[in-house]
Amino acid sequence: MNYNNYFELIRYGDLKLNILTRIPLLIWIYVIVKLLLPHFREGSRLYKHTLLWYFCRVLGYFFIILPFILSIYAYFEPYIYSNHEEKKIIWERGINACLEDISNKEKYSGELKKLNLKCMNINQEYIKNLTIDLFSKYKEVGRATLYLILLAFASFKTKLVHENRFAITALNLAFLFGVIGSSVIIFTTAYDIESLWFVIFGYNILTLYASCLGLASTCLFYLTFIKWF
Amino acid sequence: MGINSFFSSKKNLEKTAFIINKDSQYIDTLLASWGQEKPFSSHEQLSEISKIMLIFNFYFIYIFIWSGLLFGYYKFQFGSRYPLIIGFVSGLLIASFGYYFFENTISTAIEKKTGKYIAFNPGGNFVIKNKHNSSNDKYSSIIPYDSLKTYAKEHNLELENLSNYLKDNQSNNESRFSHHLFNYQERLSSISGYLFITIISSCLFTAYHNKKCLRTQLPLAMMTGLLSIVGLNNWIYHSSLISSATASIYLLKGIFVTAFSLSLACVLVPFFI
Repeated sequence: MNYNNYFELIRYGDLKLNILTRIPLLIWIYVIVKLLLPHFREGSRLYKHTLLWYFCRVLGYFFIILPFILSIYAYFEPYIYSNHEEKKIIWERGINACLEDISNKEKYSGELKKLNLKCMNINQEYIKNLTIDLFSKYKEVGRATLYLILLAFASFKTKLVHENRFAITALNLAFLFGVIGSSVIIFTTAYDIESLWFVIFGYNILTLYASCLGLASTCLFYLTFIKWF
Repeated sequence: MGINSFFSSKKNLEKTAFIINKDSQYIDTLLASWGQEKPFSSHEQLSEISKIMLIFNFYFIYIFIWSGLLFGYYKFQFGSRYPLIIGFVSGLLIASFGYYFFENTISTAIEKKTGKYIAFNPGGNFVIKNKHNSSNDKYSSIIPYDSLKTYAKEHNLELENLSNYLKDNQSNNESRFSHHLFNYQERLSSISGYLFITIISSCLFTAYHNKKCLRTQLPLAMMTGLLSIVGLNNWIYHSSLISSATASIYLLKGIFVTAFSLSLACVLVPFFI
């Protein structure tokens, strides 16, 4: 019996899948260069360079690099915290290896491999919890966005806020990421490894969503001060 | 399931079958991991024609709603056409890819010995053996699908097809499938509600600084609300009264994808004004 007809080893599978789920970061680089940084520079010409301005600028840069920091940390976290055996698997922690070889005694039976169902059950519970957590976070961030708009944009009537292109672009991007992230639900019907890839993809989009919201909030925070004081 | 077909160089892996105890407490695990579509299909024995009809229904709804909107935009000529094109095409792509993923089932598991990813084809079905033939119900054996009968003869097993097993144990399986279905419905319902909140936030936001943009966004937002809140939730209520689980999953997905494509077009409008 030729095992190669039934099973295929995916070479560098963990690396490929990690790159696939990090596609949102490439989108983020494009968005920063093309859409956000021009308005960022425009703002630096308009306003006085006070201590508060520098503080907000540093905060803005922090939100821009936040998705990269989180992504790199998530990749190397298993290396840092797991024991020697688990380091073979570079994927997210919590996923166990469930496909086992047949022992020498059983080899005559014609079985190819064994699936440990208890192990799969643990994986499923883990992915299920991640999925529920992801969607509850999306809902919370969505509500936060709505309240931010109601509070900030309904209360300010000045041109200072309404014509601030940076805040407007950041908020529009936040809506876009919110809508894209919600499409992940289509692919999470079964709580297995395939669903996990989409869930991690959704988490990366969520980071961009939160970062955009953070950038807009920082901008509004600064504008609030220069309007009132 | 099936995204690993991007990585798997062998597109035609030989089919394998699972063998599991009839009374194993982990039988649900295998059902769920395999994907919820397949058990539904085999449970209901949907014919190819009815499957095609379900897919046709989706495309009919999708194109009907979008053609109305596009006609309206063409007639009154407001806004840019690019967001609409992107929304329309991305919705079609998501629906088609989703259908491809769920129909072409190639599964992945991590091998314990090497810690590497292994792709295999779980086949069209799995079979169940009686409890007295096995001592351990924690494991499921993977065997070649073609050699099922010889395997059963050699080991004196009473093999049972999944669909027959599900028919015989209908009272137990009703609750199991309903559980999966309601889980999925609950997530779809809540996320579609949130989708509408996002769109309304976007419209509210543009209402403060760009009325022209709002004029383009509003029809899309209203249609999204109609589909995601009224359409989806009404269908969920309706589907709990009828027994066709597969049909309701297909149609719910269709409604959600349509709402998603409309909302994507809606949030893209400010970037093209």
